[in-house]
Amino acid sequence: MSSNPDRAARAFAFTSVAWLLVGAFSFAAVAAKLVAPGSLATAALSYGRLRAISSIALQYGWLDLASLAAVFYVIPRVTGVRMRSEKGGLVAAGLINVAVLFGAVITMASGVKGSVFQELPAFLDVLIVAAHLMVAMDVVRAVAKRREPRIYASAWYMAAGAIWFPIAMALGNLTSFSGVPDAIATMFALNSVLLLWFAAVGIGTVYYILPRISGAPLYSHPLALAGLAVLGFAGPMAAQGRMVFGPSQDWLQTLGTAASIGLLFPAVTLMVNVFGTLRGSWEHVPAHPSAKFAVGGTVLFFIAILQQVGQSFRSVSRSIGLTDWVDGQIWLLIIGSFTLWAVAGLVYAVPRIVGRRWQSGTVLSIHFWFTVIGASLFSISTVVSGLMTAGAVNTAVSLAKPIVSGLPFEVLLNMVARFRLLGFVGAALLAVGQAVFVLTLFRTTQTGEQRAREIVSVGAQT
Amino acid sequence: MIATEKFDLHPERNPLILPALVLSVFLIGVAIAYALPILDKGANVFSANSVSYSEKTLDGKGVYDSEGCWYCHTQQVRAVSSDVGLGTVTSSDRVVRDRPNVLGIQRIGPDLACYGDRQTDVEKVVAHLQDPRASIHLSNMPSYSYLSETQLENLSAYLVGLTCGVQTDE
Repeated sequence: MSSNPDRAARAFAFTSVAWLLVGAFSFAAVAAKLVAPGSLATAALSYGRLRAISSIALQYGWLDLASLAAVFYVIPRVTGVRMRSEKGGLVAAGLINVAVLFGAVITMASGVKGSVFQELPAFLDVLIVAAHLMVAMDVVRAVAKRREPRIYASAWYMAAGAIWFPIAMALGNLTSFSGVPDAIATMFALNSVLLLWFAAVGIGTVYYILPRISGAPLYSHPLALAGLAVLGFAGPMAAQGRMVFGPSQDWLQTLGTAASIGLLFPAVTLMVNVFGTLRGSWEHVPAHPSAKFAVGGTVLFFIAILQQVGQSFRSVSRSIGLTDWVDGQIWLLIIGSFTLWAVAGLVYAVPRIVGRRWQSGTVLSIHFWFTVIGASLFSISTVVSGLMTAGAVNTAVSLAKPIVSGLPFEVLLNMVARFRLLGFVGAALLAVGQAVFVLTLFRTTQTGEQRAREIVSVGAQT
Repeated sequence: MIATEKFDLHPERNPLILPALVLSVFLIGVAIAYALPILDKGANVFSANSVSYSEKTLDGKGVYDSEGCWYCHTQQVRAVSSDVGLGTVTSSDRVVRDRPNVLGIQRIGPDLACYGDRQTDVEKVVAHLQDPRASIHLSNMPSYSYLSETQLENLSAYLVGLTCGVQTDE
């Protein structure tokens, strides 16, 4: 038996927040560059490279490592079996950190690998896939050898995400296509990373935390499992809902629309389970910051899925397709919903694995509101800017003066400029909020009031 | 007589069922939304309409990729009213040589699928890349003056070479 359990969870958690800082501040810098394009005018900090760095740091640095921290914390506790190899977890944490670090440095030095939201060079994707294969085997083994008679919903979601992710990542990023097949593979990888990994682990975390805080069992276990099945089935197919009217196959785009509508099911089952589990226990929520983050992430997830459904309809996409709306919906998931869920996991787990209480509940509350308001402002700015662009372009076409480039495009830029400024304000608030959180986390581990560490009670290795 | 044990399909009693179920739902999605469309021969057809590259324009495409120009510029004209005037509707054969693809998902700047039909002067493009706000006062495109002269020329040659064969509305 390991004398130092949760080492891997700690490694994942503490390295993830370093990338949260890198990602959040580079994200704010990218938003600033849309307002003041002359700022930070060097090759290493160019718009394209900074944007790629923010995507790499937030997805594979922050969300991936924080998701793994949640998995390594929750799985032993819902199975009653420790992860077989804490060292294996540490190796996985090392591989992912190396991949993200090299990815960021290579991007700064030599430019972006050209795939939207999938900017890690392929040889670094190999490290991510290898790390996740190790994790997947460990998680499946823990669930198979569990000492609990039931497989809890959180274990289902996390095990499913652990199995899906390395396969999806390999199919999306370790293959090489050109043209439309390349676009299909990129969108497939994007949706799989978002919905089959970050969302699966995030929902698993919510399903672990809320019953413990409310003292009530999960409202509906079957509903949770049905939601998971539809998430795994529709998630990859919904990717093509972002390519409506593009050059890919018509049937694939129709399938993308249908699958996007299908995603409403897991989103609704999640809402039902969250509000059902907390029914009669809402008075506990303010005293438990992790519950606040879990509920906040859930609401933003529901909004983002509604946005995805909307943009996949041909009647809507003919106007808002390719506007800020589409990109903003992806960012709402990354900086809003998934970030809140990942923080919920850390806020719940860190005191229990380091044996210290959070130094300040007020600071966590400030962080919560900075994140929610920041992500919401950014999201609202992209939605409004998308709608305004759609309106202007369609009006111009109806007047037989289409906006192609030059002066008419300049007028359009002027129209949306104030919303790009609003987006920057949101991104800046978000970055400040994350800095406050990381500082509090650091101080908590150093000087927080001591409490008993939570050790898995029956955790002999098998 | 040997009694045959019934295979237990309950996921909480048979440890193989959870991974099998989870993989099954996912692999159906992979087969339909990934394998089928990617292996579809129609998506990989070359034609006279396909964008072709010289050594210079291929190098320019490399600069376009590595500077992330595709974050803000799409290269896809869709059969929708809002794309009227942008050029010929983009089909899969048009982009078949693009590795990686540069279709893009967001237009912060104009679509460039048929850019060469409305701009033919490489020097003007180089000047615009070096100082975007000299020609478009409110442009939010960053300056690419840090690129070498060769990179700027190759990037401009690539952009000007993106012709669809019809004059677009500009």
